Amino acid sequence: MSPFPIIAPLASSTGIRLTGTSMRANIENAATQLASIQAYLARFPRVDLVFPIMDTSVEARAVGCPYEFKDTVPVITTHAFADAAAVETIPIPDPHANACMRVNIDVIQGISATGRTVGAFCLGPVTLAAHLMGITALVRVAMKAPEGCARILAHCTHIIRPYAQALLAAGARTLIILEPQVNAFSPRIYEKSIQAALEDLASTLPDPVLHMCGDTNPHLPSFSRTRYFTGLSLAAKVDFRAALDACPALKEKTLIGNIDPVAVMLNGSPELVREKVAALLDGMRGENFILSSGCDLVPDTPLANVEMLIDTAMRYRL
Amino acid sequence: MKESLLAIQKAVDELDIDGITALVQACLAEGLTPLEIIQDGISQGLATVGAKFETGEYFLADLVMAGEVVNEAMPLLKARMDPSEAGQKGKVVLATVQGDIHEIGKNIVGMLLSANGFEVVDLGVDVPAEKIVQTARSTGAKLIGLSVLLSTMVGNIRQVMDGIDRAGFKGRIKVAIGGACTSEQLRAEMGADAYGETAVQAVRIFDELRQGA
Repeated sequence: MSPFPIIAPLASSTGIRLTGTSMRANIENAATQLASIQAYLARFPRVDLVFPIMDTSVEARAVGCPYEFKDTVPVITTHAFADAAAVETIPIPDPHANACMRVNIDVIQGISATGRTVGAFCLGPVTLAAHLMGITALVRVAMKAPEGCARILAHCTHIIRPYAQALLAAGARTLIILEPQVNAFSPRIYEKSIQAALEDLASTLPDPVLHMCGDTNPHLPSFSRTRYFTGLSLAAKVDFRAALDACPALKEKTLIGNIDPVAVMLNGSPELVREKVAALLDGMRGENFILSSGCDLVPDTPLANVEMLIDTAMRYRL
Repeated sequence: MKESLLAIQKAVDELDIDGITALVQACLAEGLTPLEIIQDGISQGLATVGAKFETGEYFLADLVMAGEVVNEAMPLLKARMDPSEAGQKGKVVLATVQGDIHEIGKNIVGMLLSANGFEVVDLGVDVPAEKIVQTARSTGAKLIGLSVLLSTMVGNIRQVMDGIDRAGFKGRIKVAIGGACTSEQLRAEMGADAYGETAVQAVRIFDELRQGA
């Protein structure tokens, strides 16, 4: 039986500060990122599940999308593919031969070799399509050309799947599929144009988790009906207790999250962290739940706040 | 209200990108002016879209689609517009601050403002504070809209406010902020003049600001 709670903040990026390295160096070099994650784990050994540093540009960079590093994150700067026909011309990268994907595979392998339980990230087809086409072009296709949208998302899934499987083969215990763009669409469009593609990807992966940003409260019934995902990683705007009470079907999924990474973890006091974590844990006793942050923590997150999150959680195990 | 203008409102409201051009042409053929079509057709349709967004019926993608509908119609209207009619409410400089590349919200604000009588100078994304202030000065704009999504970039709002102050325009150029990490508290901290929780509030906010600018 798993302890309550399982502690899995998306906090590896705090290791960047501990090693005094740059985000760019960590994104582009597996050894640098591994050192940062090792520093994070040395500082916070009580986490149950560790993740690499979240990078939502890997797959797009892997297929050649131009990018720049803006402050701390790589940003896709050109959306060169206008429609389904263009997207379908993109060759499927071999994740082991592709430099961008290889970094993350090596990081997962490195963490796994230490005996720690590791999770991995990969992008979902909607967010990858947004990188390739631009969000406006994707919106037009999703809302007005469902057949074209299906082709685009299918090809994006073809790009993502080998990479996802390589991450699992490298030792990832679970895969979190990142879809920050999904909440831009209504539940109706989600069910009509997006859900099938997510299920197609998830159906070939063991225990995948779907991660969405922003206010996804209107989408929760749709997410509860999305097959093959065993977990939902949701942002701070979702009240987990209220969501389970309003949509009992969600109890079939493991809810993961959702301490606010900015308002609480970055800008809040340790006392606020304790208050929010305690309130969340009080509401989630007896439920399928993993304690985490609502999204990746930024490197400047006060270490005292990360410590308080873990410390508060550990008190619930006593 | 003319049936043809109601049809325009409906097309915008229902995100009818395929039908909007023919409806605009029909209105022009009837003798309606571009300004009438914008104010009584398109703008009213956008107001309905905005209301649906506020109530949760419409989502961000619907706003983007509404923008696309308007973008289909506007070239036809602008080509027939008297230059003096365009942007009669004044200029607004819009930008996503330096270090940030998110633009959907800013683009929706720009579309709404354009459709409601403002002349929009859109500087795009990742724009240094100096450029924003300099553009406001060189264009005579009294209004600036700043978009910030990344919490690590909020300090650039202060850079813009300081730039306005150094240029001697404090209080004469008004600044509104918006974006996922912004708040009324942040507005007060940064000394900005207004905060918009959603893009659809933009027209009201900038209408209020221009009365005081």
